[in-house]
Amino acid sequence: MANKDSTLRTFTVIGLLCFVCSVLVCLAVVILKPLQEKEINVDRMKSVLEAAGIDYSGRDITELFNSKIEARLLDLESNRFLNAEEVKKAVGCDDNKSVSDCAGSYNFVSEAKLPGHNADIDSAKDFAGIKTHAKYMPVYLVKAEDKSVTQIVLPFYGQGLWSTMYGYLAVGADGSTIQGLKYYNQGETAGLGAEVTNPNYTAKWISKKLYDENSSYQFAVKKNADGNSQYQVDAISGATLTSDGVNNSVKYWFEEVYAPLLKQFKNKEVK
Amino acid sequence: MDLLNLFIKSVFIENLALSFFLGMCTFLAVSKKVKTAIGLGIAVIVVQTIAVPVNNLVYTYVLKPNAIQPGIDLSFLGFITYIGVIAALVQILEMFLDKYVPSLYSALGIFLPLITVNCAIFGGVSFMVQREYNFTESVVYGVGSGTSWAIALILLAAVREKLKYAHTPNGLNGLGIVFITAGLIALGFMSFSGIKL
Amino acid sequence: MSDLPSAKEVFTRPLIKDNPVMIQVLGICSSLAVSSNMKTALVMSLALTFVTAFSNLIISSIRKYIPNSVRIIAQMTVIASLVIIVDQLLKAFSYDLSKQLSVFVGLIITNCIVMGRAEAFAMKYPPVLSFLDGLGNGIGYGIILCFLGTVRELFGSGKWFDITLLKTVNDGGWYVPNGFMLMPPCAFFLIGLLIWLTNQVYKINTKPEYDTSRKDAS
Repeated sequence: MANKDSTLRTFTVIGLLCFVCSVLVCLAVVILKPLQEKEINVDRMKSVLEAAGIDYSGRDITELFNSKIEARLLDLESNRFLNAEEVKKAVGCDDNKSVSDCAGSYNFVSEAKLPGHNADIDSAKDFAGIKTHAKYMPVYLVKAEDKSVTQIVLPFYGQGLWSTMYGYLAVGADGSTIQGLKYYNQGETAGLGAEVTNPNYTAKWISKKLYDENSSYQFAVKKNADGNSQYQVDAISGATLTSDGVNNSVKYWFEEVYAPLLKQFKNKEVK
Repeated sequence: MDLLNLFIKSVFIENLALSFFLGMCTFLAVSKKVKTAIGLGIAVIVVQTIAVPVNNLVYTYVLKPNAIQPGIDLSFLGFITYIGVIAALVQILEMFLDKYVPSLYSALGIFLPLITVNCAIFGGVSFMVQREYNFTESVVYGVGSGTSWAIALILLAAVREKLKYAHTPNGLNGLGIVFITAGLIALGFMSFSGIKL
Repeated sequence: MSDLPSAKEVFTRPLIKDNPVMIQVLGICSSLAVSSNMKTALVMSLALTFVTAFSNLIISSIRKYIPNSVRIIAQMTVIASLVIIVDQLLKAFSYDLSKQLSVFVGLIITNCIVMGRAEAFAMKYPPVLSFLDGLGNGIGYGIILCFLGTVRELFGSGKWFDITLLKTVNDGGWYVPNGFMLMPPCAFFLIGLLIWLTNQVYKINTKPEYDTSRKDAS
């Protein structure tokens, strides 16, 4: 062990160590990848179902999801849904995935950061503080037995106090009434800002309206909200800054992005 | 102006030590004297100022999805790369200072190697990646977040120097009271939280 | 290697008496951040115990081959690989938790407990003992974390493991939750008080550096 510190020895030992470690890490990543993707998928389906107010306890999530909900990709520039081929091309899935699965697996968060796949947001309108958005957004149509669309579940996100908060908002057939809110990823203060995920809080949002009769955006989350107003929801107590973040993200996505789609929905043009 | 805002924000509002509680171990262990605190503080600022931009380059040109070639996503290697870059940087800096600026080297002494395991540096780098700063922003953020940690450390050290003469209950002496002091300082810094510039 | 400590001693010492958080002042950052509720606290303790135990085992078994000049990087490589594996496992089997813990799992790499034990123990002692030392330190950290988690979650949100024990006003009950409990600075106070308590129980007398009390006046 006299030459433990010789240069050659140093390089060999470190080289070997790195090699073994990299093999282990890569193995873990490659082997676990399918499992992780499945988990992420199920998690997404659960969140959408929860936003839509569908009880999934004790049921097979994938089956329930596919029987009730259809995912589409919305082109944010032209406000139209992509057709099956365009969806497959945009997401890059193979043929044995259904169009709905494929559209749902579109990763709008990472796409929003890829040049060429995203669009810049005008800073005057960037209430949510996200700078760019993806070209498309997955949109979930909740269908009744007779195939008519009863709700649309829309993903949205924006800056809270500490973190970017990601959520789904379910809107009813009139294109304005909120039917459910589910934040599925946030890192706000536990017990204060994180109360935004508390069902007791999100229940307050249900049956509030986003737009007035003339389809202009009226909704607001604020302190001491007027209890009689159908456009106002109380802020979370003790979490003013998180509530402001929630208010701003909803304002950005539903005033600037989804308004045309929801208008089409109101006029029964969404199938 | 944006850069100045970013600097102020990273020093006060998003103080690494007192708002995010990073680098606590060294924060509590090396804050007995103001003089050593200043030494370590400077070392952290230097390393942070170099480590954040360098990791920014590594992230943008190597690890980011589609950076090397479309379809290749190496971001899962993030942790290991950042810590590797930090450890390598610290060792290079140590050798460099030893050879060319021996006075500073002896002043920093044992603190340099300690910085590798200081999670403030690692945290700063992860925040930079998470918030997608560009290169200039990352330089400013590096300086700012390093300074924020140094300020917090010196503040605590100053209080502790006075605390030595205080008559605290038996058993609470030493570490116990330091924890409580750190908590009080952190509470003060909480009042900065959420200020938008 | 004549005076090896006994296995039992190596394992039990770090639990309370030489606790990594309270006495050695290691791994404070994460104990402040993830202890606001029990579930994350428990998973974090398990993840850390796993990483510390195995990094100690691995580093100790290759300790005779690691060149001194690059030992920190070598230790880091082992630790970082283990952490990535834990992170990937969490993502695959408990996606929900991994969302909440995301950043902090990464920070296990720089958690000084792992590094500190690797440097202070695993580099000197044989693998099995090092493994036990890692296990003990991990559990010692876990004890503190779970204690903090219990106090903070119970008084901060009236729950324990997400089971409501004290029904809060927000949910139509009577308990007004103490929001301060959920803030990170609160963990400082709790750890401070905990140190006081252990010092009292173990009769550790921490003398002030300068005694300012006037007892003699001769």
